Amino acid sequence: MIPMIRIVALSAAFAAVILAAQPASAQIPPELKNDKISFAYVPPDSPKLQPIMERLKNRQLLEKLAAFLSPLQLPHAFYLVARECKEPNAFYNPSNWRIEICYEMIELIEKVAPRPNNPVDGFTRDEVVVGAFVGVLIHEVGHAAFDMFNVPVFGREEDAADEMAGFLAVQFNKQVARTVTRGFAYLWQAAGRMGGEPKEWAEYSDEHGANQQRYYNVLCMGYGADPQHFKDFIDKGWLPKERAAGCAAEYQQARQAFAKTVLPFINQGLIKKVQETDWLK
Amino acid sequence: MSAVMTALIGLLLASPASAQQLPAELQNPNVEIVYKEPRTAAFKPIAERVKQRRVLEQLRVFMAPLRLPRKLTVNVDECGAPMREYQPQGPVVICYEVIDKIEKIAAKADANVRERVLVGAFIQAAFHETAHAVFDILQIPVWGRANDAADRLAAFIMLNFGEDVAMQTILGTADFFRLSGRTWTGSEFAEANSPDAQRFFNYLCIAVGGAPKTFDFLVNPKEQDEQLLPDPRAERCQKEFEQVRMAFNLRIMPHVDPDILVKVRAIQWLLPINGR
Repeated sequence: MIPMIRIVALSAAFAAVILAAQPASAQIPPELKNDKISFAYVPPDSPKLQPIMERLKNRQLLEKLAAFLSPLQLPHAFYLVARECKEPNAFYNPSNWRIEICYEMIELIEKVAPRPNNPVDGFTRDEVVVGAFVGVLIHEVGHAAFDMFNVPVFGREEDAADEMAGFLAVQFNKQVARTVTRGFAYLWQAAGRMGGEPKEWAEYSDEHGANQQRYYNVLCMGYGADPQHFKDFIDKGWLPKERAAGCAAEYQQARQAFAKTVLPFINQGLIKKVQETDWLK
Repeated sequence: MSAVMTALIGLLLASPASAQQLPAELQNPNVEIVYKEPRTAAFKPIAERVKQRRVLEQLRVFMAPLRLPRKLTVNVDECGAPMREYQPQGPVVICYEVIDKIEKIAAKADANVRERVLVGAFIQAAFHETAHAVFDILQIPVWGRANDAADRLAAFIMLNFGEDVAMQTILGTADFFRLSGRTWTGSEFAEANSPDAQRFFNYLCIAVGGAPKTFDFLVNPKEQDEQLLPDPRAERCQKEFEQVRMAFNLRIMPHVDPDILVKVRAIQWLLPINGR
């Protein structure tokens, strides 16, 4: 209950928020609990986002994310908030230790995903909606981990967070690896198509890589982790051979960075349970 | 071209004075240096110049504070390309081709910045390649793309040797990327390295974050001048710099001998360009 008080104290705007104390669920193993993690679904002002909140609640999205993150040995409170943002995005805010997931992000993913029963390039709608969304979530988890555990980040943090997402995606069963890697890659490809390539010099000044780069980075992390399982990335010509040749090394770099900088903060007993759980069922 | 050649003499890393007076006690016993003979005739004059200027000897003095657990070889060599990707266990290779490219790019630069392009871009290439070796030998965890990490470390080091070194190396590097770079298209985005345009902004950002007064003109230019670093990025740069500094202090500083570092920092590595 203490986390609940803390999050309300942090912001009066959250007074009307539904705060949950991790209700028991058939799908969420009860031992995956972490008292430092709290979550809230903030009701949106915009009526069109109401159904998105309802769906997330019914699917216990934040309950699952909290359970998924429960092995983290956190130095302080950590908040997971789903809310309306007026933009399709997700953030980690280091000043209040909050991951904020915008309902508009889900709206965007559902918009760019293939139509039901009409796969695009072999990508199904379900795969993209689930995979892209999980990819975005664990990208933000990456930012949160870098901040909360004081992780040394020598490269660009946005790429590092994508690496974290790509790395975590392949730490579960093969189906999860495929769904999240492909769904996340699809999102960047779609974003690249919508936004076009950066053409002017100044467009390269963003702290994020270009959507097109992020697409290849995600493919590379998956292929580097398991070249057999993701062989189709090469066969279909998505990942050029020149890049593919270095992907095993890129994956190893992320794996070693994870082992040295994040793994020490993970409860080894709980992480086994997390890995055994089928999160996308 | 001959003007560039003349400019290069007396450049490459140090002023003529300090090049001849490398402090004998500042050595790194684990750094071995080799000037490989180029096969291509056109590179022979470059090879002569880098040897005469004792470029690798200077780099070895510069690396004196770094405690390495094993030998590291640094070569100048002909690569067949401007870069030879660092492989685990080394060596660090600075290619004759990159020096050639730097000279050609510098020749295109305005006369008043030619010198800093030659110096800055060469030091950038040397630091970038060395950074890869440091990550490897010291088993440093690297989050983010390795080439960007090497650039960020190189930029951070450039800021630690006084204002003149910072200005010449950062701006020379940025000029070089701007003059040689172009935007990308199609499958170029699949490359593991970053386009020159991104590298340009990455160097400027670390500079603005780490030395905001010195590099203020990049964000707040005089009226007629262009704003080289756009506001949305500039706002994040102090945080970017702090991130690199934290990473450096946590993972590299424990391998640095602080007393030797003070001596290396006391060397006047570059004469102020206007002071000649």
